Amino acid sequence: MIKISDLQKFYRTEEVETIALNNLSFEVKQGEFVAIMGPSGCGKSTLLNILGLLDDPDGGSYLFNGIEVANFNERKRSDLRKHNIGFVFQSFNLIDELSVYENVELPLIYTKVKASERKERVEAVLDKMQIMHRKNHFPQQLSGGQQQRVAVARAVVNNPKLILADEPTGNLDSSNGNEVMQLLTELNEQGTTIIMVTHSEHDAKYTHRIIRMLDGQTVTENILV
Amino acid sequence: MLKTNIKLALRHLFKRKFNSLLNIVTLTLGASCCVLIYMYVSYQMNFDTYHKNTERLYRLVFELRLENETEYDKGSSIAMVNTLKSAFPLVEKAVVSINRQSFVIDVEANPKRRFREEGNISFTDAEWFDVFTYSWIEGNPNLLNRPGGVILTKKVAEKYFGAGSATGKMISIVGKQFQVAGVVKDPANTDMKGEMYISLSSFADLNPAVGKDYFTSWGYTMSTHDAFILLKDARQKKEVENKLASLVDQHMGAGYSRLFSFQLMPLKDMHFDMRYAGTISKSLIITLSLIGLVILCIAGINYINLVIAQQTRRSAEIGTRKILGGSAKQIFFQFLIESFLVSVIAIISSLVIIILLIPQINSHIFYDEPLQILSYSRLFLFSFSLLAALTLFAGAYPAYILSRLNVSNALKNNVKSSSSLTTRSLIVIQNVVAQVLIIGTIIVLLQVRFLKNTDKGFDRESVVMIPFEKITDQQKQLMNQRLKGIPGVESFSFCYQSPASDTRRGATVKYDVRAEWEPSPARFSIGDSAYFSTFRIPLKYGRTISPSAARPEYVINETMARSLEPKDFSRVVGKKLMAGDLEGIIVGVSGDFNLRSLRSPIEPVVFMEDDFLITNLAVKLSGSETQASLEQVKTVYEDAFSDQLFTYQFVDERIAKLYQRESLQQKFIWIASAVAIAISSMGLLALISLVTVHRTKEIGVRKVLGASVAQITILLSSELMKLIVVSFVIASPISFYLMSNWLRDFAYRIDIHWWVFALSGGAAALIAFATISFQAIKAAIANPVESLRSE
Repeated sequence: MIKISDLQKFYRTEEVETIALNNLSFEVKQGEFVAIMGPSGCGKSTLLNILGLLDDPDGGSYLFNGIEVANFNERKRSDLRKHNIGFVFQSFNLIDELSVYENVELPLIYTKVKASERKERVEAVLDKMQIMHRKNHFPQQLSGGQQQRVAVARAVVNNPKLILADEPTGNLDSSNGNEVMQLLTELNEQGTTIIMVTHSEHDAKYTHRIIRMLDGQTVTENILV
Repeated sequence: MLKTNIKLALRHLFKRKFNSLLNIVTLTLGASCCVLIYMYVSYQMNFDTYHKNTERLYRLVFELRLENETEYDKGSSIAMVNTLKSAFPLVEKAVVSINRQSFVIDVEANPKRRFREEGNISFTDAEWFDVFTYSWIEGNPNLLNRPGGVILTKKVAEKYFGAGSATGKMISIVGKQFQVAGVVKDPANTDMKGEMYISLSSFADLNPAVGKDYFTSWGYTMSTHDAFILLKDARQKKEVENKLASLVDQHMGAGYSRLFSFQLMPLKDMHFDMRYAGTISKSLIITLSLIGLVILCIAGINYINLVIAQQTRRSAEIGTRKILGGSAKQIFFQFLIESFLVSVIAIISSLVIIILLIPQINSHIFYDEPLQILSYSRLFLFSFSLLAALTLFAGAYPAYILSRLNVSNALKNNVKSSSSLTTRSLIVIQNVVAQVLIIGTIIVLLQVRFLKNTDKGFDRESVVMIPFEKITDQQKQLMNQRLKGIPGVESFSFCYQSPASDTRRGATVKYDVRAEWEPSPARFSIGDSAYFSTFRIPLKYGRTISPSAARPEYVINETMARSLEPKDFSRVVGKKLMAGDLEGIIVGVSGDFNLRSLRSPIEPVVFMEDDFLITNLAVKLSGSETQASLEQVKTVYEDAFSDQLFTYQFVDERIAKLYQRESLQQKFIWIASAVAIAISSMGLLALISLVTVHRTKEIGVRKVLGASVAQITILLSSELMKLIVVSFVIASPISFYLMSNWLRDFAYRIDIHWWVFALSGGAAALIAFATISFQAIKAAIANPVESLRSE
């Protein structure tokens, strides 16, 4: 599903050039659940941004479903993103001014889904995440675990083929964290490919494979399953 | 999508009440100021536009071309209007109205009542109502074609006869009977000051001093004769002017066509041409409109600034939306809708404020010339355009900037905030405007005070003017004797007008044995021998005129004496002087005094006695027990004039009226600068509160490292205060240039002192610091543990 080869990314300030990704290559197959681990500053987040088409690489190739997307313009990237990729963040990134229901509905509005269908799909996913009873609440009124469940609901409402999760349990206590990991596992079992950046060896155990990074390069790959 | 956006926008507004309130209040203030200026400008722009023939209507004006200068005036002669009617096939209609200063009117109702009408009397015939559009309540103008008819406006008719019908009722003017032929509605905005139209054919009857040739000679070309021409075809203006020019020599005398040039001024220019007694110049209208526009701009700039400054708070949201598939266009519209909502609230508030407060605004600020709402539909249309402008200009720019934030930066809150160059430039622009307006306000204020309170060469203190229509020798004698007996009366003079009035009377003069007319004309000042003592005008040489001189005697002012006898101006005493068509002798030279407003310089003045024009009693009171003295003067006045009404006005008040235009400018610039200061202060307040939010962590770290409250306050304030200083440096030369230009219109003007700039700069800095420091201190005294934890 995803194949990156010799991916490069540099950050330049006035005097220093930092190499964030240094000829990075790996492949993720359809239906895989992959963890990316490594110390702070090793390039995990940069990689996730590029995989999520939020940022473009300075060199190398990125094939998404066999299509070269490394040089896509903003509109094409946005289009590909909204139909194929769901995001889950450490800080949830829910929109404070929108209710639970409205937060989950937003991606469907952007993909121009009809109102009647939107209602059906939002309710179905809220049900599945067991937060239907909270649909009219605002994010500040929810616990961290609930907020992250809303974020996951929002990420999957469009039935993306790929979910990118950036330390999804980082702001949660262990029991809420486990719940979220359970949710992701279920989603993966239903066929969604998931790439997750994490610091937690515990969370990594839920995945099929761990890619370990250091200084913008992969150092090892552990196959868990 | 639209629904979600509106909902989201409203939630944002409610969530950040402080910022939303600042946004709305500044836009409301800006919009209110704009609406106010719009009301005034549209009122002025719609003078006499409602006449059905406006496009073909012209006013007769003339230029009097003298050797050294050209005088401009409106007016004509009755005879010329008659010629236009009879001998000009291109002219469809020609009408004239003789405007008279004042009359005492007796209303033959029960009880009998007496009124004085001033400045609103017009002698004309029925055709006037054909040429101009009036809305008739009752009657018709036909009676004006015979002697003894009068048409009233509703206001005057109600004053005389109450609410019932006035047609057919009688009034008496100077003992002569007039029948009310009809009543018209009061025109909303017109320069035709008539409220009482009297048969032209009764003019001679009411003014016995007028000779026969008054109606037959072109020589009686006067500004009080308002003449209008309705052309068959507006394009034939030039032909009519040429033909008039060709007739001047024949009717006025050989060579007069070199002196007089008659022209047709389009009716639509009448209100704006200051040379011909216009009310307001187009340039002032443009200036006011520009001020309105500038105020709107700084309100808009303020809004832009705030929205962009808030971007760090919104960037995560923008990033999330983009990740979820929101395109730049969709995010752009989301922000545009927010601006639209804020603008709608602001515009509605400003309309409500203006409509509700207009009576208060009028009674406190525009009491001389109340603002009116001419048409609600046009006002709403204007507000709608304001709304569109605000949404598009103030809304689109920040929406564009925000919609184009880079996604990953936005998510990481890694966006440059209020320190950006754009924001800083916008703050500077805003403050430059505010400071230019503050400096302008101070200078206009000083100049208006100077105009109103400065007497050049005379003393107005405690002098009252008491008008009457005419005075006989007997009445004069009676009053002379009795007024001298009143202890509170220091001196008095029967005269035409006080110094510093709007008189334009004057003529060319011929001096001594010189064969040629002098190159400059002289203004006439008219009164009796006591005029100089009453107004404390010093005599430099010779004596004042004597009451019973056999031939006319003149006192001329020093400026004129010096121009006649440059080497030794005392030599003029005893010499002959031909003033207009009247030959007399110069008996004295007075000091210079300002006969007219301080807009014009001191001109040559000939002082003379002319019984026909003496219509005022000027009384100098001793200053104590003014009211008691006035009561005594009133008794004397009523004993002398059985047919007059005692009214009086202090010279002070009359002089203040001369500068109504400047007072009005002062009021507008005052309002504008107050609004500008308020807007920029609110802008600063909002920005400093954002700056403190952005720098919370920095403040915490500095405090942990030992910074004092004062140091942190200074740190936070200094960046914005620097911008105030930069604004001051830019604003000072701009305002110096603009205000020097404005002052140039006055012959007498104040100097622009350095302290005006210091004062305004100091005030701006103080207001800014007061605004900023509150928030800065609040941030500085906060517990550092709190500020560090918030990260």
